[in-house]
Amino acid sequence: MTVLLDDNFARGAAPPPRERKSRLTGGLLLVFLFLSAALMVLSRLDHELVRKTRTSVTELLVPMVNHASTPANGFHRVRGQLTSYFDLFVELERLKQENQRLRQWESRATHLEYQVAEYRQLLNGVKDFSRGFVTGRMIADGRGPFMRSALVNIGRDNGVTSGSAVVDRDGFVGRIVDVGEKAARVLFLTDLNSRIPVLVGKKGVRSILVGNNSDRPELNFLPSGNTPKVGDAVYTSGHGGLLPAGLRVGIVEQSGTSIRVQPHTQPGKAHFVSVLKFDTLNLGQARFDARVRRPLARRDIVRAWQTSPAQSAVEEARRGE
Amino acid sequence: MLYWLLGTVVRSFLILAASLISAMPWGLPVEFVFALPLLVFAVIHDIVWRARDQVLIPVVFVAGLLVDILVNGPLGFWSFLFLLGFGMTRQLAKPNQPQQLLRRWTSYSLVALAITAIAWLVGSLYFLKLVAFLPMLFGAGLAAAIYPILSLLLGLSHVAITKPEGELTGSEA
Repeated sequence: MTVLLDDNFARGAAPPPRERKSRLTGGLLLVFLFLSAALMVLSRLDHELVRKTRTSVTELLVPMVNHASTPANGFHRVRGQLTSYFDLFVELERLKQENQRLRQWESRATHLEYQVAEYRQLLNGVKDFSRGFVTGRMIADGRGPFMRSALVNIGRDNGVTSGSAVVDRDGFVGRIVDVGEKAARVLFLTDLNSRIPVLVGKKGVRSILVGNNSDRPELNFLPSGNTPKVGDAVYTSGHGGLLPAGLRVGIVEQSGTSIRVQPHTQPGKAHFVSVLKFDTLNLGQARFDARVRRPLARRDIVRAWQTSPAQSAVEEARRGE
Repeated sequence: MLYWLLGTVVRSFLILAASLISAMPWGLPVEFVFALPLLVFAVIHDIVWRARDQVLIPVVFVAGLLVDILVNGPLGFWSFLFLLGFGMTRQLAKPNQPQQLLRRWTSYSLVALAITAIAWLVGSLYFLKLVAFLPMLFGAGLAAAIYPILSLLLGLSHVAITKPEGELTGSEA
C-alpha cells in the first residue's frame, strides 16, 4: 500500500508545477511558430494586409529609428576621418591626377556646351526641363542574404513618390518601392527584384540590368550580335517612363556568358541619397486615368497639356525667340 | 517577485534594443550583414542560459518581427528563426546546469549553425530558388566569434539586476 502511494502512480495526480510550466511554454512556442509561418506565407503572397501593416509599423518606428541611427552616423564620420588620415598621401596623389584629367575635360566640356547650344538654336530645339530632388539620410539598412534595400527619412511629406529614382554622388542607387508620410523604402539596383532598363556603351545598346543579390548585377535581354565590351558605360535608358534617362549606373566588368556590371555606387555605404522628382507628362497620365475611369474629355486633354512641364518648356523657348 | 519583474522588463528591453541596433546602417560589407540578426539571437540565447524564465516568447516573436520590418525581409522570417533557436536553447540550457562561458559558447555555435541551415532552407523555399549559403555561413561564423564578448557584456547587466547578496532571480535559484 505504501509503495502504491509513494510511486505517484495514482490516477488524477497533477504533474509537478515545473512540468506544467514547461508544457505551457511548449504550447505557446508552437502557437507563435505557427503564427510566424502564417505571416511568411501571407508575405509571400504579397497580401494587402501585410503590406499595409508593414508600412504603418514602419511609419510608427521612423522617429525612434531616426534617433537610434545617430550612433551609426557618428561611426561613419569617425571611420571616414580615420580612413582619410591613413590614406592621406595615396589619396593626395590620386586627387592630383584626377584634377589634371578633369581640367582637360573642363575645357572640352565648355566647348561642347557651346556647340550644343548652337545646334539647339539652329534646330529650334527645346531645353530639357530641370528635375527637382530631395535629399535624405539612410536610417535603416535592409541588406541581407535575400534583400538589398534601405529606409530613408523622407516620404510623401517631402514629395517622394513610389518608383522615383534614387541617386547619390556617384550615380544611380535604386528606386523607391514603398512610401510612407515620413519615410520611404529604397530598393537597391543589386536586389534580386530589381530590373532597370539601361543603355550600354557608345552604341546605346538596350538591355535590362538585373539584380542578383551580389555586388555585380547582370545585363540580360541584350540583342543578339551586340556583346558589350569590358569598360563600356551603362546608363539608364528611360524606357517605360519610370526612370529618367542618362543616370550613371556603372561599367561593364565581365563579358562572356554572364555579363556583369560594376556599379559606380556602393549601395549600403551611401549615407545621404537624393530622390529625383521625375514625373512623366501629365497628359499621358490623364489619358491613362480616363481610360480606366471614364471616357476621355477634351477639357481633360487641354488642362493636362496646359499644366505639363513640356508645355512650359515650349512656352519658354518661344519667349526666348 | 519584484526582482523577477524588473529582470523580465530589463531583459525584454535588451532584446528589443538589440533588434533595433541590428538594423542600423553601419556601412558593413554585405557578407557581414547576416551576422547582425544572429547577434540579436545571441542576446536571446545568453539570457535564456542565465534566466530562462525571464525571456518571454511574445518578446522573442516581436524582436524577430522588428528585424523583418526594418530590413524589409519576409515578414515572420526572423521571428520564426528566433523562436526555433529559443526552443533549441531551452532544451540545451536545462535548469541547474553549469553555466561556464565555454558551454554557452558551444551551445550558441551549434544553435546558430542550425538556424543558419534552416534560414537557407526557408529562404530557398520562399524565393523558389537556391540562395547562396556561404555568405550566411560566414555571418554565422562571425556571430559565433563575437559571442563571448557579447556574453561578457550581458553578464554586467545580469549582475546589476540580480538580487542582493548574490541570490539569483528566476530559475537559477
